[in-house]
Amino acid sequence: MNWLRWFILFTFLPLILSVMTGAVSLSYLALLPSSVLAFALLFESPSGFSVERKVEKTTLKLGEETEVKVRLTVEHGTGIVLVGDVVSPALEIVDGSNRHVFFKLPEKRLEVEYSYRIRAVKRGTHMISPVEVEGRHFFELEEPRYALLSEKAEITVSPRIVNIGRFVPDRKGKPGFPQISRAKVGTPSTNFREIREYRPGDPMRTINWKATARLGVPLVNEYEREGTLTFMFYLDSSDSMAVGGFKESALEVAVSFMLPLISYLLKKGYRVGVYALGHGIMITPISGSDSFSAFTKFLLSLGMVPTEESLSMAVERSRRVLNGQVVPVVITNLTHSNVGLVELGLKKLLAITGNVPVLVDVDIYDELGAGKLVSLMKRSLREDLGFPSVVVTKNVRKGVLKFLEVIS
Amino acid sequence: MRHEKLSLGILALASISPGFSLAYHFRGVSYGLAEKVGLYIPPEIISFAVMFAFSVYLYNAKGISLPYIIIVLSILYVLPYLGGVLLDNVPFVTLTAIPLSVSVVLVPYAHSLQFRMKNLGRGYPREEIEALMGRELNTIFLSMLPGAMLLVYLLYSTSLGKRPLGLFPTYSVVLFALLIGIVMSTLEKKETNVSKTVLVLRTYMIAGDSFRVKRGSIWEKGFELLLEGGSPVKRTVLLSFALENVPEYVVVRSPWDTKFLTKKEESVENGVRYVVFSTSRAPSSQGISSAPP
Repeated sequence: MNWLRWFILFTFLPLILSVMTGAVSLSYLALLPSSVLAFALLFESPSGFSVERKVEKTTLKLGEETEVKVRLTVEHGTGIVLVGDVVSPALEIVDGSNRHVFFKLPEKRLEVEYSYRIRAVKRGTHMISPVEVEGRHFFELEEPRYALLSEKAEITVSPRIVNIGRFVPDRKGKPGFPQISRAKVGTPSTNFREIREYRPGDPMRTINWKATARLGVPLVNEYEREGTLTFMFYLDSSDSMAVGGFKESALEVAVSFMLPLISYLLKKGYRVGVYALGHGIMITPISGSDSFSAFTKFLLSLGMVPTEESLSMAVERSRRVLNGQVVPVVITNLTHSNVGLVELGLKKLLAITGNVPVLVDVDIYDELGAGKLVSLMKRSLREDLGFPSVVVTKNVRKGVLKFLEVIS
Repeated sequence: MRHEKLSLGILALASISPGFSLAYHFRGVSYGLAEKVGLYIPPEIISFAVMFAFSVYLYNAKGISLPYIIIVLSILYVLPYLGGVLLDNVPFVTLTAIPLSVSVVLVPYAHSLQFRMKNLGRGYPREEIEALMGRELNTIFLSMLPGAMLLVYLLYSTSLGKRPLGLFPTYSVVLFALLIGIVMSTLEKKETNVSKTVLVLRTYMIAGDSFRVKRGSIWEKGFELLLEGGSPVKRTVLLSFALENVPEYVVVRSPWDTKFLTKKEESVENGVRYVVFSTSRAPSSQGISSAPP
């Protein structure tokens, strides 16, 4: 039986009994419960909510922490007040709690403050929902009052990017790995590179008149030459990259591998492009250190997709950017289930670009405790494919250096 | 252990009333004992001991919960009077009935309270939930105070209920208290001015950790929202946006999961009408679909 019905029944039962038995004094027993009932009717559910929330920092590096402070005021009513917000699973609560429960006493304003600390455990732009507040009547005589207050908070988490240049050994004079990536000759492209001083022989149309007028020396716009070496990355973002859980998945490792590598390649003057396999979206090859922000933005928001897009299909879709000197790089988690499609794609890349594609195999199985067997199986698959390959584990610096070694 | 002690205390308290009520039937036992053993034990004590032992047996051996045992004791208390025993023959009839009348309302309330606290969901600090129970019970005790004061006065003026007042004064007090409450509750100003309506969608599903919301299909009585991007993870999804016409249902779809949400509750606060759509009722838990977070 619902306890409230029970309560009302036993409030009136003594009165009925006293009438039935003629014992008037029995009716006195109704005094206590009826007093409670009258009191409960006098007060409404907690209401009149207001919330102020402050997030200490909204831009974090992976592993960094920030504090969220919430101040709640409840003006009216009596009963339980539940308060909380929904934090993205990519933001781990390390101290305190984002959910609290308080009791609002009658005729007394409730003012409370609480805080909690969150740690960024995965890259991306993550949300903390507006604050939910629910007021429940202490006697459950009324429907709960609900409000969604404060604005949602957006927290951007970027991975720590290792400056790989410090660890790259000097490869000067080594064949195959061009020290100057840009073609010195050839047709200038439309990709702006820099503004430099005028040199005799520069065409008149390249003069930047505005900059010249401002600084008083003749300046020209320099454009990238056609023929600049291009690295075209095909990043697998299908379910096969989900291994390792959502915080430390193969895709996360792949992104952590790509960011410092792209940063390095752009600094060295190469053109870099990325195709997200599964999403069917890409960044067409661009150059210049300034372009790095485009890659971080692209990769930070990149998630997984359950739909499969074969590498061959991706190559076909990105065919128009595979002109010139292109080094194709395929990043995937090589398994028995996708090795066939990867092979077809690699062969297609070789046929289109004329360059041998590099296979980057993300292997975190050993770190997941799956043992060496899976890694050995992956190694055998790579060897069967016969393409140059690099194994990337959670130690991405090692992976990047190995990659640079392979392409040289 | 503390809970056990409290339960035994409640059982002892609630056993007083039927003990006194049925003491008449234990007079033979009392006299018999006095004759054979030479020790006179008042029938009220024997009756109480039997009632207490009986209720403890039900509670411990039979595993019957406290509210049901209290019902049994209440029936036992009422039985003699229904059988024709005059109340005047029962000493302290009103006084002894008070523990039963208190426990009969408080025990189910405490049980309901315990159930409600348990249902609040994981994630709330344990100490806050424990403190909450105490504060809620304190509020109940506070609300009992006017009734208790009146009861004391009535017991005093009627020689502990032996010479009851006329029907009218007692009834009038009870009815008067209820009347005040009802009038006050109807006088309470309900917020009717709604400046905007906010649709709140709450569900627990597999969605991206950093999804973007896109509008999907629109049907006659509902619409679809697409959660795109991010890596899949089982999580609470809480979305809100202002709209004019509240739909009958909303379909929330991520690449890995689909949820069908219907209206669960509605509330007006500070001139804003919140319409909560959910796959289950009640907000607030990251790990529990029913839970605000």
